[in-house]
Amino acid sequence: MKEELFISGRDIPNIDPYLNIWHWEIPVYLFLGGLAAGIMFFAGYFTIMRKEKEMQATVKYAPMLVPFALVLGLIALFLDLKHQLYFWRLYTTIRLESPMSWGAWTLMFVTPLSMVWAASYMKEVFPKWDWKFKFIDQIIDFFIEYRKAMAWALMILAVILGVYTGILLSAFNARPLWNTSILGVLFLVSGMSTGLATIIWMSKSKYERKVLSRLDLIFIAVELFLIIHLLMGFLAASQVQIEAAQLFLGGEFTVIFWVFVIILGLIFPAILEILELRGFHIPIWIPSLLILIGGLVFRYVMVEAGQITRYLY
Amino acid sequence: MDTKIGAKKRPVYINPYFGGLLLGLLILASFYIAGRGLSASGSAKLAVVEVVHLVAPEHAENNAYYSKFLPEDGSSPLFNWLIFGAIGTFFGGMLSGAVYGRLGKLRIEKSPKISNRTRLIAAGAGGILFGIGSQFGRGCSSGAALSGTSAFSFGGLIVMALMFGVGYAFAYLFRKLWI
Amino acid sequence: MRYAMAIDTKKCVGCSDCVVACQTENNVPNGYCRDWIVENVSGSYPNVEIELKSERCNHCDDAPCVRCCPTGASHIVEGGIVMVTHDECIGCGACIQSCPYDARYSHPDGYVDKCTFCQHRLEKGQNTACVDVCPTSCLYFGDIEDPNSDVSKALKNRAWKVLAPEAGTKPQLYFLT
Repeated sequence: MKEELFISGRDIPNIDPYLNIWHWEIPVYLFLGGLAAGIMFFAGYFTIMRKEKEMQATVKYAPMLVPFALVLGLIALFLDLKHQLYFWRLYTTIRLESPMSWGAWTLMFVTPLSMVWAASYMKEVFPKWDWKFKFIDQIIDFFIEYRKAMAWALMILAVILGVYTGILLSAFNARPLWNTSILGVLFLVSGMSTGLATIIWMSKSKYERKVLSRLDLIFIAVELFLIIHLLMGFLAASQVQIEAAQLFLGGEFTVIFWVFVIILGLIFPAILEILELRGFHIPIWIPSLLILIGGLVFRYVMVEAGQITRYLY
Repeated sequence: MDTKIGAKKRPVYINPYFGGLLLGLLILASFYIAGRGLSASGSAKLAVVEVVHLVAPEHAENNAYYSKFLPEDGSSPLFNWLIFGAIGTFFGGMLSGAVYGRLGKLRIEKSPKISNRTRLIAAGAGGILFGIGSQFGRGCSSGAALSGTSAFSFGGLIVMALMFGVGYAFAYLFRKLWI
Repeated sequence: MRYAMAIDTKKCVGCSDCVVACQTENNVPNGYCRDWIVENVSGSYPNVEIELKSERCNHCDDAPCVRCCPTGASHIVEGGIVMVTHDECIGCGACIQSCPYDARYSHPDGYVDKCTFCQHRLEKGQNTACVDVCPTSCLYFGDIEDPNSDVSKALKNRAWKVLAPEAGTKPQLYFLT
């Protein structure tokens, strides 16, 4: 037999019997961060490609959601902190070795930038909008001049934000499920896919939906590829990683992962999008909603399962 | 069958006899894979048990009717093949409807002579009666008639016969809802 | 000056005096502990082996908790001791996620807490509470860079191991086997 016990009777809240100190707030924040990154990236990309006229929802309407998504994500993050009164300490220092510090500062720049972007399109989206103060009009006009520069900044910061949501988890080498470099790219691609799904849902132009659906199919394919390789990588690594992968291949998260994340969250929406591209009429909210739910469940499962995996005990 | 369509042309339905054959094969497959019949009755019942458990946990656990469906290890009664079968049915039906042009706007099907409200109230009342009846008869049209008769259940046969027979007999009284 | 601790697993009896002493000395809240006893039983009768270890924060050389702290609240002080500045900690839990030894916990007051090698006692020239109170004297503490310290002498002629060396943390708690 082989037995390992805490005979001093350790039962620390949130640490025993297995780590569960991060709850729903972190997956929600990772989801909203990825979504915002996806929308911002394509808003910037299509602006630089000078396709603003054809891709109105991408460039104008969807970015209106981004400030809300980011602020809600930050609120979720704030709620997760246990020493909330000291949250401002995050902004008194930059620690380059800590992905959490990276993320705090990236969000610090991305949130106002996304608000400025959304503000610069306010008059086009709401024709009767009045800023009420002349100097605001002047500032907005200034930013409209520099839209291309903002688009580049938006794209770069969006990629950093998307990758950060994955690197945040992969930097914790004590959690074998997270400690893989694929996670950074995987969360970026997943974020882009959810962003595309949102824009497709909001779009009113058939051409735009077609272009974005094609892009979304590519991203879904890449995401499936990365997930398969994530699991293959775990099965070929050390014992703790093999056990981590077993959580998804016969363990407690098998059903949720394969049904809600892979089948209903990736494969089935991809089939529906392919059918839509071939001319069958699919109500557009169905694949988009499934992709969004799949993205949220994926992050929830990764955070929950990751905390269960460990090197010791 | 005309398959190159959007919602504008007439929706396409499969030959009913062929459809019945496929459904029978599906029940066989269901018994082979899961050891039990199709999931419509069971999933509705598990959903009810879960809701009661959420709202009044002690009542659900002490009641002979509900407690049979609450797993011992404390996991949700929804974590069951039946629920996933029902989810799959929903999305499979949606896929079939999308490909064959049956997916249109969300609409209420009724006689044009009555209001939406009347139809919905009638649907609600019928649903309640059907729910009570299905618990007496241990199955609905899917559970008793399909899965039940395929297992040669005499009770299922009686439920099915009376369900359709009584429905047929009383249909005249409710014709105004439909024509 | 590099503090380290050696635990003689052959002498530890699992009495948990070190656990209680630490809780008393450091005002650890009820239900929490900064150190704990792990018992490993292996083999089958009559060849059963028991290994008892008194574990705590390993004050690693390459501490992942210090690396991933976004505010710098987790830091290393003189002697290689990993400490947490309570006023700088935001309670994000990143350090808890990054510790392979589950040595940290979230204090009810909000900040993250853990074994501090009783730094307040070391400053006064005393030993850590657990070392002082151990009835079998199985805990050795001192400056591992000093060849005459208790811990160096304990490590000299005995086989030892560290926990989870594959996690890459270079822990400074040595278990004499």
